[in-house]
Amino acid sequence: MPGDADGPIEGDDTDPGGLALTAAQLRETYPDARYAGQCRERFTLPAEPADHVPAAEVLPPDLAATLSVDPWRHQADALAALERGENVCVTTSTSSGKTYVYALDIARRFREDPDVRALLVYPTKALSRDQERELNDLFDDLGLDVTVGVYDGDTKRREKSRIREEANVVITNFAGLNQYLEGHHRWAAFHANCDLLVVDEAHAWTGVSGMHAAWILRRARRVIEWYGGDPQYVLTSATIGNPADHAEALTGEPATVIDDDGSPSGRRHLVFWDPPTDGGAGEGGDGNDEGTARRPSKRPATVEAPEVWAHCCYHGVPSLLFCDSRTGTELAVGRAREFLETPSLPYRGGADLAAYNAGHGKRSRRGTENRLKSGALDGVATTSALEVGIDVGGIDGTVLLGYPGSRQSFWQRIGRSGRGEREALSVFVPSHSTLDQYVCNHPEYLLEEDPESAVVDLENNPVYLQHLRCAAQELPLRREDAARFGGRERLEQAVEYGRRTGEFEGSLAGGITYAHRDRPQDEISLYAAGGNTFEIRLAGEGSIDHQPIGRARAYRDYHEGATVLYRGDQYEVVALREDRPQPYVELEEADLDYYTQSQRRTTIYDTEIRESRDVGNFRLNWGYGTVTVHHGTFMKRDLESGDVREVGLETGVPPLEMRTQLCWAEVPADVERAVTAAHSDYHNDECEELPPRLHGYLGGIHAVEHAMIAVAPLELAVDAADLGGLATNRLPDGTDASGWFIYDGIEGGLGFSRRIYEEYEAVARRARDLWVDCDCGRDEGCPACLMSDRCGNDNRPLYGPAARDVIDAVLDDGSAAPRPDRADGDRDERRPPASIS
Amino acid sequence: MPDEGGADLLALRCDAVADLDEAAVRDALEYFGPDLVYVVRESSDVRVVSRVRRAADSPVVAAAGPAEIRTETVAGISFCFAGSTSLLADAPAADYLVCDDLEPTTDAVALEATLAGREAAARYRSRSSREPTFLTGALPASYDHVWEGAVDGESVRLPVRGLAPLERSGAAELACLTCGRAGSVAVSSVPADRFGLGALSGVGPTTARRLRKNGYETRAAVADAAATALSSIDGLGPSTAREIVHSARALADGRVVRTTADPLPPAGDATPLFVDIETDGLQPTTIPLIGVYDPASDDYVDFVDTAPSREDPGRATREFVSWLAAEYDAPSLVAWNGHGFDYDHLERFIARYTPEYRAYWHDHVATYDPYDWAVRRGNAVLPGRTNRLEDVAAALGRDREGAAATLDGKTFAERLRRLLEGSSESEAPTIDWTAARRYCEADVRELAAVYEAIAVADPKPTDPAGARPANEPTQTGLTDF
Repeated sequence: MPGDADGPIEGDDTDPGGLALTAAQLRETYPDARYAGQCRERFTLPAEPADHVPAAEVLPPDLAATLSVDPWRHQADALAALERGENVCVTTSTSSGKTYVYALDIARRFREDPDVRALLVYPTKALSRDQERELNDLFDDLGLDVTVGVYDGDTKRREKSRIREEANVVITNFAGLNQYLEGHHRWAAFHANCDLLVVDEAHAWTGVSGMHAAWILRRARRVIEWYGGDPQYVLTSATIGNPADHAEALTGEPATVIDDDGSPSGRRHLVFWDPPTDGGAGEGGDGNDEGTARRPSKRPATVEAPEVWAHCCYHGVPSLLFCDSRTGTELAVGRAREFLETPSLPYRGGADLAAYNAGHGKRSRRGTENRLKSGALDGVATTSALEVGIDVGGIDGTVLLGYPGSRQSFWQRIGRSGRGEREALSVFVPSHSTLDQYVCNHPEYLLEEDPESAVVDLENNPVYLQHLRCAAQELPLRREDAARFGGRERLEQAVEYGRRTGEFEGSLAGGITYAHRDRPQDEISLYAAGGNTFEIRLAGEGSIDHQPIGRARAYRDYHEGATVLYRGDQYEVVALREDRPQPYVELEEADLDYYTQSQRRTTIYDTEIRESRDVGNFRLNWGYGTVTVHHGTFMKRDLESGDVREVGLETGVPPLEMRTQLCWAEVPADVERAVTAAHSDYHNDECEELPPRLHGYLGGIHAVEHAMIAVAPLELAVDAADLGGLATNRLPDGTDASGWFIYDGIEGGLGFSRRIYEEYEAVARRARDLWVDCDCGRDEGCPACLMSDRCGNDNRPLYGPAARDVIDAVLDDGSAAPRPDRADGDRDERRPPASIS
Repeated sequence: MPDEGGADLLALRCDAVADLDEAAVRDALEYFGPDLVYVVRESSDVRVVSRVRRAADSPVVAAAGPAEIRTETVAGISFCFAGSTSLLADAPAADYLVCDDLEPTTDAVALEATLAGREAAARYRSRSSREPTFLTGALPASYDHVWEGAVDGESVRLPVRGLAPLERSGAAELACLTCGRAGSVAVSSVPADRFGLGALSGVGPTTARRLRKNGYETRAAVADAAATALSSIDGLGPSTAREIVHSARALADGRVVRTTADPLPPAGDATPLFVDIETDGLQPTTIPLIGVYDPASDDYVDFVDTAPSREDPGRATREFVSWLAAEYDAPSLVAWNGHGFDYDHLERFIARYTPEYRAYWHDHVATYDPYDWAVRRGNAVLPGRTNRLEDVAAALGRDREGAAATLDGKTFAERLRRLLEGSSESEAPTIDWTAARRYCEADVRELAAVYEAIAVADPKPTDPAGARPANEPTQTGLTDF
């Protein structure tokens, strides 16, 4: 990203006192008529001075002389590590010049050997082009004739051969690399001289796409080595909880973590701005308070955030407002203008505001970018399009409409304001959803605790097989490859599997080759596991650049009648077809004021324990199981307020059976007895099918399952939609104990349930806090704590007090109560099975 | 063809031949000349089966018929067809046991694959005095795996071969298996849509229907037609019509029909040097044999590693390229589908096993591919049912004889692979290197002949309006994926 590249060179020294509003001033200037205590939290993050290292210490003298500014500490550390022959993983803040690390390393190598080559893998095509310009500018500044080329689906054929032959630096993406490995003989010279392999935004490779990326890198490395190359890795990453492990999981090699950030930052004012309860603060509530009789509803963040943003822009704090959809950006600009024009409010003259999203076309977006940079605009409402990449110039403020789903993205967005040592103001306006409310109630989560961990699981065999086919097609697979491809035992088993299915020929001694004439690379979709993918098409003439999706996701979110938000645009699914060789989903552009969510019913059987451990008195297991998920119905919700419009609509998709990874907790008999007795009074009239005495207890373990899944994204870089759960009073493993499952919603598993198994206590603790600290104060919870949109049991029963007791028992270290005798006589009593997913 | 001869079994799957009318089915049967036709169970369609029965002279066995045992003995080879594995208990012994129930069942998550029907097959095997080969329509004809079964604690070998059409770039290829007495099976295949009018380039099912509707029932009728007459058919443009007629004439007369005026590369003074490589498969782990023919001196040279090893798979490549560099400053190599196979692997082997010649290969060697030029780039229509070199050469009237005719590339590859794998096995085959070298030489000379036939074919008169610049020589590396 250019923000990275403009690091130390420009040496920006704008007046740090230039910020027009501090947090306190935001509060003071806000119109009294519209203020009812929204400043829920206020923080001041201190300024960090720059920590430079003299260029001559880490770079050859003539190269150091051409640099106008000394590198920052982390850049110097990384360059030194690279010089020692180590791989590095640089995890420092936004705009800390991570690009410089590999750019300077390439420059250094180029001076020694003008034939040097480096392969740079970026997350998106858009970022690739941006980066090409930045790198070219930098090498120009350094007076080096380093050739940079972007090699992806948009590169012209003639260009491609020139880039392969001549470019020192080739920029591509993982989907492209997966394909290009097949024609590796064309890259012979490149591979032979390849000294550096760079993975940018490495934190983004987590979950399904992470495991594909990891295998693609192993394939690339193998091919490069065939031609004699021996590259070092540079990974750049946002701050994550496990940078060393993640780097090793992705590349298969250890890396030195560089996290001592030497880049400067100005003082930052951060405000958590909790929207007022509706009716409590003037007009403008959009009448969305019907249908939620449970408690006085808050003004939606979609209404409140644009007003705060307008206020900042009006008061001379040029600001970005981050929204989650294209439509959202347009609506926000309208709302903000309206707000500034309200006669009863003290604004005179308005502010120059604009919306920015990918729907606007290149020229219009360039125009907006330039007006923003030149100061002609006071504010821009944007989708994630401005989160990374494009230089936004002197932005002082950022307003976040809702929590963007990960801490990494939160800080990335916040970090778009306040370049260099200039002060900045950031406002977070939480919406009424689980993660937003949790973060709002637990600011320490953002400010103090370790960030989420990225999860890359190489355990998934269907995905492993896909990449083995590719590897065997690229170069014969031999026994020496075992270290890189799953170890000898697993490789041998996979090879035997492939020989039996007719895909592989030969032996590991001489070389396993791929037996078919097709290209197994074509079967890889970075966002799906193990083939069987659905193409995404647009009805009629148009086309859509949407990755194929896996079946589980298609059934869940792309059934007929579902709404799909893609790159900020709204679509409706008009067809899902799989009665043909290439299954597909057909979308139609839509302008709807609702969105849909499907509900699922789950059954689990054939569980197989791979690992177990004790947590409190609970037995915790991790292993494999067969999960049948049926996303049979869906509901429509109001786009603005989230209120339920219709429920029980048919999706028309069949149940999906998958063999996947899961973890489950067995509740000890005494805990079950105690919690059941303590909450036997609780009764939910709508759960007739369950024994009345058990409503409290079952509501408890059901709530634990929901809450643990809901908070998982706080610990792991996971989309909660890829997890599922089931609470049951009789586990299918014959123990007859009650318990709850959390499973990976993808054939073969993703490694998430595995990580939850490992970090069970932390996740359980957060799940407990979620309900205990929730503002709703209801025993049955609310959509922001215990309730799940996916619940196939319509969120019944859910019972917070019992859930708290169960989690307390999980977290009990065992000192309070002795471990109960497992041969407890009470176990003999057969209970009716009851499962709630 | 396997040297011992055998029975030709043509396997059909109804969905792959559904678009063939009766004439086209007859055409397919004439082409393969099978001793026996088998219609696999999957996608069975009674109308298609009856069409096949009407057209066939040989026995036709349909798997979807009544679940029964049927035996056929053709060309001295016995086949037993069993409608299900449950019938195997009563099935008589035969050289080949055909049963579509045999199929791997897989669990990709656990990395486990087993053979459905394995117990029944093993018992059948143990009752038989010889080792039968099991054939199944549930697997493609490329499938070749020896399973292990156990009966009463004794282990038995269960060689299983597939019968169903091969899938190549999404299109089905009909497979004909030449089944030898000792269980050796050789497969030949042709795309299913290359029969009847479909054999003509530019004719798919829709165009075939249009042609038939307009009275062009056979290729001969099309060959006799004027392109202008064809282009009056709705949905056929003038250029498609020309292509169809050209192709019909090429097939009918057994000659090359040029569709452009571009000269066949290499142009100018460069004399082509014809090359072919023999390997152990589609993704070679070794290249033990490289043949080169120089028409200028009429010299044939080959580079052979008669003791191929895992340790040095690039020995022949090294000898070849060092000879080439010594003899030719700027050679123009010509290989059939070279840009799809030979050059790719030569380049890869040179990079790995003799990197000192990488620069020479890259900067001085020009590579050409007449198959690519004619077929993919649309400069000529070739005779032959497929555009494989041996088919084109045969259609041009060059039939192989002697030792060269007893071998084909795939068989050589299989033997080579078993030789390399079999250092521990007692039954590792030996390779008749003399036959292999003759086969390779025949291939290279065939290539030269086909090249010559393309070169001397009358170019299409230059169309002044649509004149294109002559093709530039295609350098290694210029083609793309």
